[in-house]
Amino acid sequence: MILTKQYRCVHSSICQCTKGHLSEDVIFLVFRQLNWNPKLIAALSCVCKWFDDLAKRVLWKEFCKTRAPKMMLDLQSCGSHSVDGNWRALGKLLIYCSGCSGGRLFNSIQIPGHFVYRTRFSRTSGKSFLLPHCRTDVLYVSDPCEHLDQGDDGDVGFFRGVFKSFMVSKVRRMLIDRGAQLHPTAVCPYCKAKMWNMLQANMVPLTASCKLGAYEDSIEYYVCLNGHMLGICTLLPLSDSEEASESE
Amino acid sequence: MMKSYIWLQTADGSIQQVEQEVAMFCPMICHEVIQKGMGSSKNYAISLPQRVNPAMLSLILDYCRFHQVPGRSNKERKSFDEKFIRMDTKRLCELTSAADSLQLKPLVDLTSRALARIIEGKSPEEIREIFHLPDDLTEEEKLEPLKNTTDDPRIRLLNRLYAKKRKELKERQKLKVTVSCFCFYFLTLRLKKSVLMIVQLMISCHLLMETMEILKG
Repeated sequence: MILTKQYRCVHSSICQCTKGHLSEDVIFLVFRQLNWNPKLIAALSCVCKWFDDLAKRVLWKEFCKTRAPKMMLDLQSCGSHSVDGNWRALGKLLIYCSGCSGGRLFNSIQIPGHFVYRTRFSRTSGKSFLLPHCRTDVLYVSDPCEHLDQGDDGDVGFFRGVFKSFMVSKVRRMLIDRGAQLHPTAVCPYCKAKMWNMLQANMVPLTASCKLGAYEDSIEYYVCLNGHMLGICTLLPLSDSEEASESE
Repeated sequence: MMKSYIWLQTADGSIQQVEQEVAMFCPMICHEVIQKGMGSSKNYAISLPQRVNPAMLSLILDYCRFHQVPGRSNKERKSFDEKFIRMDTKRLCELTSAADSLQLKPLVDLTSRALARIIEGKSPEEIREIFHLPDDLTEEEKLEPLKNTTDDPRIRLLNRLYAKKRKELKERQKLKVTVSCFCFYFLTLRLKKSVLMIVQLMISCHLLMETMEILKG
């Protein structure tokens, strides 16, 4: 038995999960054949309550584990675990760059969200986004998704990331101690939780701009209550940054 | 040469015998025969998992009967497979489940691939129709808004349990405090009593000594 049996239906009165010929094991096997195609998982979530629950509980988890096995092992180690339902948020974070729309989060021009073919997440990069006091926290950050030639805004880069065991992290402790404000309207595009403004809380270290190859004062980033991270920066033109490294 | 047979029993109680080389193609049956010595007679028939009903068993044995013959070409096998999986979706699901419980990987792969081809590229409504599933999501849920984690009935249950546990602990704490207070009070009472007793004893001793003095003279 691949999946633990659910003895009681928790979905709806007309649900078929405990009746009928279809079992979760079969769906698991089918999706394994489909290599956990995220479009299909999303389509399945819209079919019925049972499939929605199954997607959040199992399918998105398997998707994350096959797409980023080492990262997922690390995020789940030391007894930390992603709550059912946040696998979907994590899955979306792996493949979706949220851009900025309606000037809600970043006061910038409209750049629509889009799916990204491939993203590299790095724990080492993550260290550059943490204040020295918080460097024991584990943060995975993506390489910036480049949106070049955005007029006045120059070359815009979006980056996203996720904390390990955010509930017990130093960053969260510091945000609470400093009384950091939650953004009044915007919510995390991945899990729709409220977000803290790291810039306003003075928690953006100088190392971040070096890591991104961006202008020092152009970096803004937000962290949501579940530990998802979302940021924007203005990238240095490539020639400039090359000169800078030569002069060092 | 006499053919040897393996005895199999499905969940509905019916028992049948199957040629050994055919049955042994299923890893689960193979395991039962070799490791546990089962299946050699009617009384020791191998109990098959619940998901394997007689109809599914028949299909699986057809598959095994064909594929266990060593001499076949890849083309022959492929052709057989293609014809074999031409059945309605319901049966395909049941067959996947049954094959999985017998650990017959090649058949599991074949059937799940067939099911995968069926649902690939389909919209939610089409998937609902294929599997005869109810349309029980609200329009809002279909747009994938976040369900607040506290809406999850399992988490609600957990929260209720935690609240109950906290209450119990509080009660136990209160009880502990009252019990210890009582013990303390009781102890001091006893102490009082013994103090009283000592005092009484002292008084009576004193009286005795006085009487003795008087008697002495």
